[in-house]
Amino acid sequence: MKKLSLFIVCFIAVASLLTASSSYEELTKNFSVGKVETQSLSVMTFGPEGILFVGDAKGGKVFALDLNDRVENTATKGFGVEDIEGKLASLLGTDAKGVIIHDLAVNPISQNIYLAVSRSDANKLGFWKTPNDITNANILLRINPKGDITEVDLSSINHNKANIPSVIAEGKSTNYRKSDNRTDAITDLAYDDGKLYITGLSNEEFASALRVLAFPFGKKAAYSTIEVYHVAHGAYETEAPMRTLLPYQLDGKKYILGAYTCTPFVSIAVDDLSAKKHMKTKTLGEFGFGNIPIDIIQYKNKGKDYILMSNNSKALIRIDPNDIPSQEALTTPLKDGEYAVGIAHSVLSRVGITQIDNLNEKNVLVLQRMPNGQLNLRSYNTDWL
Amino acid sequence: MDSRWAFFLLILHCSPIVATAQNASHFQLVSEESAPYYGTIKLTDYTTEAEETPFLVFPRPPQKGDPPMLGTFESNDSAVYFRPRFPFIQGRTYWIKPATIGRDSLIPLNIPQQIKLEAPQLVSIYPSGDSWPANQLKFYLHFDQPMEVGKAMEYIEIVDEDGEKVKAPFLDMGQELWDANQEQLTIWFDPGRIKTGLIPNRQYGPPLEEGKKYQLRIKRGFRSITGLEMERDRIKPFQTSSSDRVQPDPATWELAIPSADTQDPLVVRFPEPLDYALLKTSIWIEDRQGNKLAGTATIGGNEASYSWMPLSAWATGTYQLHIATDLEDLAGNNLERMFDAALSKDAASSKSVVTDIQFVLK
Repeated sequence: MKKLSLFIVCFIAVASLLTASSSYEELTKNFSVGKVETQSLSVMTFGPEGILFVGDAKGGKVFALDLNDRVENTATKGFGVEDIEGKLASLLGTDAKGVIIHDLAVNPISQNIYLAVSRSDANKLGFWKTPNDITNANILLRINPKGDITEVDLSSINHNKANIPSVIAEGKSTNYRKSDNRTDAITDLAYDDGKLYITGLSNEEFASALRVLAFPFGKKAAYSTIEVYHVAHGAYETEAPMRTLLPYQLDGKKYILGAYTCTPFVSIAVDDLSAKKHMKTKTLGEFGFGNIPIDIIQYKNKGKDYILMSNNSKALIRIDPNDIPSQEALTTPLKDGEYAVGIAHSVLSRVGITQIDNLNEKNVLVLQRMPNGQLNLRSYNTDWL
Repeated sequence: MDSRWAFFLLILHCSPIVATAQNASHFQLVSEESAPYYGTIKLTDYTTEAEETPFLVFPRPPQKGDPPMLGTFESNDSAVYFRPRFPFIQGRTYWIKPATIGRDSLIPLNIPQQIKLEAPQLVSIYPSGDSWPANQLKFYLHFDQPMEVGKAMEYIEIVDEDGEKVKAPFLDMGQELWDANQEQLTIWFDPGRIKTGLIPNRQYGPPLEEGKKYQLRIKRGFRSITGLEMERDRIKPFQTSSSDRVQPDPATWELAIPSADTQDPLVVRFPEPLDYALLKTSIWIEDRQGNKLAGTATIGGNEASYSWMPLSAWATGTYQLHIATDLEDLAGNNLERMFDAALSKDAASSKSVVTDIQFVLK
């Protein structure tokens, strides 16, 4: 959920030199200092100038926090904290099983790592029970490159917020995870070129929605409801939300790449989004049922672009973006004996990885559950991914 | 090196930076009456010029790289207070590492349990009246503390006039119906035996017969989550009236309307007792525009009346008492349909249902 690609960072860096409209002062001119009234730190992603976007599924809002974290760090070193849950537990006064990490995002400017955390019972997590299904994250922590962990004080911070239109109501549960539907009101968000893309469920007949919110906030968010062809189910579906998304530029055209539970991998042309109220996504591949995608980023391995997706069960999935343009849309059901179909993908042997983000040019940061049960925060060199 | 010198150096090395060395007796857990948890560690007899943190707190003996607990230090006179960012967990030992004694010295601090360690009591049973229709659908038990889940059926029984236990009167749902606090339990009579014509009803008859005396017994030994047992049997005698096959009808209710400019309650009397739990959620007062008003509701004795007091004095004008159609009488008949309606026919009654009663305050 964070995947601000290096490409975009560079783009923003250049754009901010060229246009006054994306300077720090311009971007934060509508901000005010005060308490951030979030009900859940559900998902996070970085925008420009150290601005952290927080999707609050319970509150039905998106917050833009000015973290005042803009000192550039161009190091290309790796990073690691073993037993990160033990460290967080020490900080919060409980056991390693008494903390849940809900999301992770790296500030691409400073390489400071931000975690959305709750002090809650991790024993309740399950294969189909994600952190946001258990409880609402309410603690924002910062880890600097030295490994010091501090809390970000949300009671007084420069910020702004925007409403998400037509969010799905609380109090009902129609998903297989037996979780309140509202948990899926915002499942992921990503920033690209003055726009925040937000996936999740709406209260429309076709619940799955992709909203586009201009930043700086001011205008109402536009949204389209989206449907996906799910090969394993042999049907077009509108009820399940996209779980993770990545703005991506291909042949000069902008797309949103995204993945759903059980695992359709799809593309949507950004131009279509603004034009249509309801649209079908293009199913490029389906990577297997019994799997929830968690994060998707882009990175360079020895100079070549790749897309990397973490999942709750299918290790790390790597996709070559060059395969995307030539991939036909999948529109026919899975045949007997088939499991994963469509676009070619590699499954990397890095098990237990949940959250991922770009740490720097040479490293991808991951949360990885080790065979001894310990959760480590560590990086992998991009040349090895 | 000469051994005398070594001794001297050691003393130098160990001499405290602050004036007062700290030991366990200087640390004390203080609680505020308003806080539901023990909140703060107080360090007394503390004097130092240094700006360093006087002590650190850990939830386990710190391992390499463990950061200390988040929290704030405050000092006044000669005491320092540490208030953790998140409350200490009851029953857990925390470890204090003072700044002034050896690196490995840790002072354990136990946070006591504050859970109620008294035998559980059954506070109330609803319906509270002693006359139940023979087709009574359910009843509620309210305990004074969270109870153990899963064993209720071993402790609840109904005994008839001859002292015989009524056989299998209750619905076995596999899962007991407790509220979120595990203090309130709902028990259903077996609806298959209540509904006329269903196979269990034809085979075994209804669980309760008309015009008989019974005792509902909740037996001692019923455990709370702390493991303590109810010390005495609780016996509720009741007698059955004829089966109730009439739906509640708000048109038959009597309203005692208060005067404007007072905070007197609106009192509603029903011709029969209604379901306690549903009364709490199914009735409210609206202004003329349909806005729900804020106030306090009280359910009267025998669940046969309901009174509602506004938060501020009544203004003159038109109000309405709104009743949700799911409000039930003791036999499970609601405003829209009878519980025991023939399945073959359209169960909904044909007459229109009154769900709003207007009243005017002058």
